Amino acid sequence: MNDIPLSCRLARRWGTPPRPTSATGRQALGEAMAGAPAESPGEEPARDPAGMPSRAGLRAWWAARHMQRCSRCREEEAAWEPVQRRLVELGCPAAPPDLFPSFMTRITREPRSGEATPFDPADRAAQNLWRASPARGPALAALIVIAVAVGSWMALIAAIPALDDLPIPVPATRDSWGPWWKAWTDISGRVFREESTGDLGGPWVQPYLITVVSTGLGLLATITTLVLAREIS
Amino acid sequence: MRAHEEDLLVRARRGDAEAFGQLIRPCLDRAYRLALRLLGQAEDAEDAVQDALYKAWRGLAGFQGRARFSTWLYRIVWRECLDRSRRRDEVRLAADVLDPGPDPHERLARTESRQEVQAALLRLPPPYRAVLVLFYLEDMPVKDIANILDLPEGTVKTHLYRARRALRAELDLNGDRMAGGGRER
Repeated sequence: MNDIPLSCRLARRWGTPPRPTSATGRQALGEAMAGAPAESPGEEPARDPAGMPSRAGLRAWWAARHMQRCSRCREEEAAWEPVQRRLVELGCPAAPPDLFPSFMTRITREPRSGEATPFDPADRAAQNLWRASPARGPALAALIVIAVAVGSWMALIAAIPALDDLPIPVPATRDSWGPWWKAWTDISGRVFREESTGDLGGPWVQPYLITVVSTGLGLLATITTLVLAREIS
Repeated sequence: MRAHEEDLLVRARRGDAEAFGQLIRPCLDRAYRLALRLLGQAEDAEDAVQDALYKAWRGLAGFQGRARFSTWLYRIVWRECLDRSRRRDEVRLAADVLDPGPDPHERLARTESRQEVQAALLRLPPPYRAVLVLFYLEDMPVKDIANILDLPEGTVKTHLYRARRALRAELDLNGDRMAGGGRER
């Protein structure tokens, strides 16, 4: 394909090749094909309601003009014409008469259940998880909020015990944060402080280690919840 | 027309098979032709359309009504055919689906020509086959073809030119092969 000049390639991308048939002229293929005129570029490109030539209109106009002027493209169209004639001779057979009744029998006999099908073509963005159908929206949003809350809480609570060992003023109210706070400081203290011999690099390493591990756990919880949310949706 | 379609859609989503039947009825011939040209065999095409329609029926909740129902349906048919043609190794001729001509000699000539074109068509990659069928045989606008195949419009146009060139090459090659065979004999 590299032997095709850039202008010809652009014309193919921006323009539409002439078609010998109209939407209603399926039965008159032979006559329609005999004098299939190339799409006329017109005097100037199509304009939008504001009177400005649109980008697509300009491109289509340029492509159609190129197709008329370029000898290479004209030759290609001429060479394609007999092939096109043979192609459309394949005809348009109708569906077998028993196709519809047998399908109707099938769907009335079998109960319907959910199955994945292609999304609405005009809504390609719907393929994105976050823009799934409105019915799934609230449940998904609730799961995301829970995931973010759990992750944030774990990251926050991980940072607080680490502050004990740092020369930073800590809020005095943390002791009143309830059983969760106590449980967490007990666990983190047992794992990282009391049983640690300090070989990890001195008093500064341990709080950072606690923070990193706890934040990692928080992120893991968030990711797990999001994956579950995706499965549910 | 659009309001009627909306009404049928609402009823079909509630499980009204009759309403779904009314929705698919106008699309049936075109869906069958698309499958036939993509798969090449009447039985395969019939099975593919049946399965695609059934998938559409079961997954009707996934259709949000932002495009035409027919475009959505053809897209399911296209995907079903694509899956089937990927599963299938060999290419078979569709001699049984060709319309007979009026005169025996003409009929024979036309049948041979059609078989040759159909065989050449089946040797093309499925996206090329689909754009040729939808554009030249079904008279569909490029925008609709792009929606069905899930491709940008520019890509559909480029596919169209490449498909034309490939089909021409296939037919020329076939002609050369036949001429070569004739000389050998």
